[in-house]
Amino acid sequence: METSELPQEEAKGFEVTVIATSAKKIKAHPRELIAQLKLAATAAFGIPPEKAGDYRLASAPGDPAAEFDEAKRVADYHLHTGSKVYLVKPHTDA
Amino acid sequence: MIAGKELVDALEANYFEGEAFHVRTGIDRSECPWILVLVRRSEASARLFGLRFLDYPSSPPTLRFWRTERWNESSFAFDFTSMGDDGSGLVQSPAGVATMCIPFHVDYYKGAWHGDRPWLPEAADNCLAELVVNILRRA
Repeated sequence: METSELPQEEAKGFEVTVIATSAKKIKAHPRELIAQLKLAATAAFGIPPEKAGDYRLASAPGDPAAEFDEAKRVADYHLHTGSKVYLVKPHTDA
Repeated sequence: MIAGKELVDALEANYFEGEAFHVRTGIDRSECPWILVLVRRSEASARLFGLRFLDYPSSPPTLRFWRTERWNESSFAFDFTSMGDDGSGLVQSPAGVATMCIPFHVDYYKGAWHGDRPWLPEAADNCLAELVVNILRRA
């Protein structure tokens, strides 16, 4: 979806709710990369930037298929005001 | 950092919503908050576990597993000082607790079972989130 096609409020930016036990509201923008949103989320939870690579954002907890591709953009996942995203450690088979 | 009843209410709201989950929460006589979760993804796949927060965030929670039938046993006491039910976790700790071999719960560290991934009180929110997600991945 092109940014120009988005509702004005969402094109300007909006808040999603990021969950890591507690919930924090993080500003997002449709054109922003998921990797950038994750950096904002990890910072909000006090995770140092050098450890941010240990985490992923996901649409559901405990489901490896729900983990977001960091090279995609916020709009690709149709996130909107109030969307819940989870801060998780990437799934491994270990 | 949230604690007490607010903590278990946040866990319920943030992780255990939807048809697959049945949840009970409370505060015990020692004033420790607890949460019990029955995850039923299908008729063939269900798991019952509980977390009790003694001295949180200084210490990790206690994790226990019980047979899913316990959920409807009105006389059954979910005792976190017990070993849980044999076979209800994925492994048994050296002390005989039915559990999962995942970090950030008390029995992971007991008896020097594991020394990696220490519990970090200042990052308890993130440690607990990882524990819950790991349980759900295996539940």
